[in-house]
Amino acid sequence: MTDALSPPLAILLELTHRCPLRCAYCSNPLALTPAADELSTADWCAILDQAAAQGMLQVHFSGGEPMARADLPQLVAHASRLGLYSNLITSGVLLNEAKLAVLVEAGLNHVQLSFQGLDEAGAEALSGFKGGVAKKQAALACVQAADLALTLNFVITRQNADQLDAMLSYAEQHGIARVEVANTQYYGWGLQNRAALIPSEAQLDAMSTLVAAWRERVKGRMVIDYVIPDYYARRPKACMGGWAQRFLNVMPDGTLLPCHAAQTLTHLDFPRFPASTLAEAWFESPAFAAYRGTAWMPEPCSGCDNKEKDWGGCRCQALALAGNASTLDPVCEHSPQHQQVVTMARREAQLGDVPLQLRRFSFAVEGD
Amino acid sequence: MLSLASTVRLAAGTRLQHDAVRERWVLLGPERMLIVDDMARLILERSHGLTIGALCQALAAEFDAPLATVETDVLALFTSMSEKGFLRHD
Ligand code: SF4
Ligand code: SF4
Repeated sequence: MTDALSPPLAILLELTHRCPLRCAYCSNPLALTPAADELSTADWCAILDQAAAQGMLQVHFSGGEPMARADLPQLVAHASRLGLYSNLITSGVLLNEAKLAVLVEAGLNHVQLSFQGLDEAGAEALSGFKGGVAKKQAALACVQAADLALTLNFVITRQNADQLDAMLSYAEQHGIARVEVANTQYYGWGLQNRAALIPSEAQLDAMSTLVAAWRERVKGRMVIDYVIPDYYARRPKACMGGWAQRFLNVMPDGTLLPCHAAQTLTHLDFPRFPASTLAEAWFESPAFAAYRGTAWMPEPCSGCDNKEKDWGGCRCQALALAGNASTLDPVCEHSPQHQQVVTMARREAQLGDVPLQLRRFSFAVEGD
Repeated sequence: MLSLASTVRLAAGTRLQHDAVRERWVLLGPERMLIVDDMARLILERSHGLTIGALCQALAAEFDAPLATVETDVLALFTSMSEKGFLRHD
């Protein structure tokens, strides 16, 4: 299988973990990388060079808030010179007309702007940031005025799940071509806050029905991508299109991962840039090889028809829910833990108002 | 609905790009990618500024193919591409 292994298609650069928001669902790790440990501009440019040389096609600038890095325009310009398709994943609160103009000039191809809902109070409760909705709406106007391709990303939790129709109407009124309805995923801070965030099955069913109806109505005008929490599902999702098969993720300090949550797999020794090149990490490191393909699979995955569809699900979720990264994803109905997971999700979804633990830099926690 | 009177163009943020390492062409868009074979690429490149009807007539003549078949195939291709968000149409 390794003979046929092709390079990743896309790379996600977590330029920084710094962010003006403090989202309770943030999938950054609990141990956030301090600014002093972030890679330099030259390092990021070298990573882009290697990515392009290896044949990657898309680069996602992410974080934290990537706009917290002053060198973002330089990095975008570097990516465009290399012919990489560039996407900025942003909360929008640091975006204004002047900053956007510089990014457009640098060759940025696409912006993904996230919303925690449309009412200020609700969004502030989830993100710890005052006045965020107004700032995001202003950012949206800037991006549209600049004629830049845009995706709106609505982050869904049980607090705002019932506003989904209003969110989609908002997107339609603004002529948005692509929307992501992204139920929060339970990694990092999101996992810490799962009991407070997870929607009920009834909410999930209502969302699925609504999304199906909307998709039918806006066909050809607005594409809706829909990400569900798979705790209530019978089969897991193919996490990242399979472990280390399509994506490469770089943490702010240069740690190279097959997905943004993989640092929780502390039994694996992930390579780090610049000590390792991207190609060495991808093709040679034992950590990337650990769960690639189907060879690692235990029963019942190894004998399952689905094994090349979902690749046994998510390794990080297996670790988080079953305490073992090398077992099948416990949301799978064939897992001995499946019923336990569903029961837990149902129970947590009924807990009502659970206090949110907003994310914070652990190194700045004194006196917090 | 896409019809023979429609014209199509790549959606904002979408581009046709050669994937040199894998020796193929792809449509690249936000968080998505579509592999396009030689025929699909040719059709896309020729579609510029033409109605789908006019495009199909040109293709049918050039490839000596039945017009009705070409129309069905091109409409199916463009419908699928626009539903995935790669194309916009007027
Ligand atoms: S999820 Fe919230 S806190 Fe985390 S990086 Fe995104 S905007 Fe910042
Ligand atoms: S048994 Fe394994 S491969 Fe089969 S559906 Fe479950 S997780 Fe997927």
